[in-house]
Amino acid sequence: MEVNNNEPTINNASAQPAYIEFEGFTKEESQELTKAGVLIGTLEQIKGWARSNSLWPLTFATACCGIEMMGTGAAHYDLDRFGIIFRASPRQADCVIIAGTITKKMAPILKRLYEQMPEPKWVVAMGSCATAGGPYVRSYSVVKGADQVIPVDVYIPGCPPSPPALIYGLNKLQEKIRLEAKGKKVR
Amino acid sequence: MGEIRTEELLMNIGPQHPSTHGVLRVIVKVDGEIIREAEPVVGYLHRGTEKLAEDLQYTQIIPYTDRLDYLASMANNHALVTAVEKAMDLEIPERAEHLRVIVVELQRLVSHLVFLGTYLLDLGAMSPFLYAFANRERVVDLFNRLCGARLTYNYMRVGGVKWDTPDGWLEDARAFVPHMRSELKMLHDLVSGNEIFLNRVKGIGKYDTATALGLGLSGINLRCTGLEWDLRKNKPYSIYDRFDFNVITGKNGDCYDRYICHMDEIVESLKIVEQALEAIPEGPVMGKVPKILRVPAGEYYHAIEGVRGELGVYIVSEGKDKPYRLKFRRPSFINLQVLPQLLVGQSMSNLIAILGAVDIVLGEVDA
Amino acid sequence: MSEETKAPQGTEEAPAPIDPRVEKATAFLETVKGKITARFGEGVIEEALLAKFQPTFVLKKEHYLEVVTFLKDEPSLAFIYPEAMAGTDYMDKGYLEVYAYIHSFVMDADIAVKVRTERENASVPSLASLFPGYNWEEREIFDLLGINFEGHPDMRRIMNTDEWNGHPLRKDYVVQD
Repeated sequence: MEVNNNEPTINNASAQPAYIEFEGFTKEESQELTKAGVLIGTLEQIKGWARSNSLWPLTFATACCGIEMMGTGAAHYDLDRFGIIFRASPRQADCVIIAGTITKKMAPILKRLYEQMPEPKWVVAMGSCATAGGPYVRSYSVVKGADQVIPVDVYIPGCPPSPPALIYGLNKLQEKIRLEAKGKKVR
Repeated sequence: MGEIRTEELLMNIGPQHPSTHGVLRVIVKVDGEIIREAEPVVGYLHRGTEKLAEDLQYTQIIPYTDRLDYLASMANNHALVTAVEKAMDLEIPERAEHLRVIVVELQRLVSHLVFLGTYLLDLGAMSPFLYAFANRERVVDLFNRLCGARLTYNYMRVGGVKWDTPDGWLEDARAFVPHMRSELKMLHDLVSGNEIFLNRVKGIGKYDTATALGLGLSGINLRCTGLEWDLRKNKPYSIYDRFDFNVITGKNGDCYDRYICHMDEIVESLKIVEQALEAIPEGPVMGKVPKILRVPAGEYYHAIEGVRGELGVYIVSEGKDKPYRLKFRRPSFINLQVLPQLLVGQSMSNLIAILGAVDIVLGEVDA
Repeated sequence: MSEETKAPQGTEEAPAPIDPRVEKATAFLETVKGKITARFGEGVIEEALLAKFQPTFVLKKEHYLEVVTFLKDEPSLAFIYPEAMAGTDYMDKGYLEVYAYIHSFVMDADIAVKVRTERENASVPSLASLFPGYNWEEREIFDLLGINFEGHPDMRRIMNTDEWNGHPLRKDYVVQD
């Protein structure tokens, strides 16, 4: 995950924009807000910190990775200490952890759920099936990776990834949210 | 104020739902809260394992079997390797047999714990889920030390098992048995007398033996009606005939009986593990098998008592190292057929209780 | 298929010891075959063989349903517990085959019943009316192999979407992406 540093250099025309892009505002408005200074930037960072520390994922467990997700949420490796509470309805969820194989029959449903989630939203592809089709990549009924259906932010490899791996992936997602709030585009 | 117009509503309990069984969709026609008709729709996790298996050697298929019933991977491995070994008439070393029985019975225990946790989570109780998974962690930790994975073990091979136990594993397994017994007592104290729980599951989802036999149900779903049919005793395979354990049956065939059968089977599994741990000999863990496994031409069907029922493997072979056709007789797939007739006339909350008690795993329903 | 062990050189030709499992299975096969032929005559069974100690009957398609009904209803046979059903595509031999495995508590034994059909317009009588447990198995075989089961109450695809083209488990299926 590389972080593009945007130093606001005004003379470098081809570089990143010299103002922080705030979400929901147009380019001119963002420029105005950046000129307003420290307060707005800090507000974005506060929002980013708040969002990252209370990620509420949608329960989207398809296959075996779902059991590891449940195991991560259970007693031994707790997810509640990160502020992560699993929500059942997409309308109340921040992010979706795609745990398990996506089949061609399931893909339209995943798309619909993603569209039902309100902004801002993130997607975590857990396990090799959700990342790229996994061991079933040559099968006739498997979508080769969830990113063929919806845009994915964090990929967690493993089959299934152990709970520490899932926690590491979620921590990376939290970092990404905080960094993006500072205005840096994170790939 | 005239008559309130009521009509039946076609509702979809979609493939994504908080009930933890996986991507099962149930289309119900409800009249108020009462279900008139229900139809399960499966296939949202159909990954084409059987088609993929036609292109893989037998040892390569073993990881795919793990992912069929992912809560009971050891049992799935066992099904495939015993089928191939029976077809090829292979001898398996004693230590490997004992290790297999130990891991399969521990796996059965783990799966029943997950059933307990998730069933009660569906019914609304959070605490048993946490206790069940905490105990599961201990067993999964043992498995992790043994074969390196937490959920999909890929442990058994045709002719034996892949790895021998590391130092201290057998002692830790022996120490686990009394710990689990006391934990089980605690779980019973927590759940089995709870009035809300009993009200929600007693008398719900009843069926009799004749229905069960006609539908081809197996495992706990068949035994809860009172018929004693356990493939470990009736069609013994591996070394199960050496161990002394009871076959748990229910009386009424309702959800409560299925719950009690699950809990009592944990006790029986602990007995078998204890006996196997005592009897395990030293020796090799892998028998003499040819490097490339070729099953002689013909067709074979072999079934074992998997965790959810009769898990069978049907192999059609042309004498090559890859099967011509490999079919898994998956218990959850067949067991799910009982759902429509059980749901008629029930309320929506009973739907969750009944669905949970059938104990399905979607990986197995869809293959 | 009796296992013949090679007699060591120089000794007298001893009769090859027959595996007791083969004997038992052959006896069972003959009993059931006798009952079927007594009821229906010779023509219904195409083949009766032992597939590694498992008695297997290949039945003719026209008599398939009535023979299986007889196997289920006859009190001395009572094959009432359906255990498995599978479909296979024998492309080189030119037919599709359905394999049903049924258990009898009365005889404490299992029987395998097979029926064959052509690859074009494949169709086999359905056993779902006798054994409700075969309902979904037959739907799965229809979905993956394309065998239509006559008399099935609900012949639809079960695993793939309803708009799927083709039958994936056939040997000549090309994966479309």
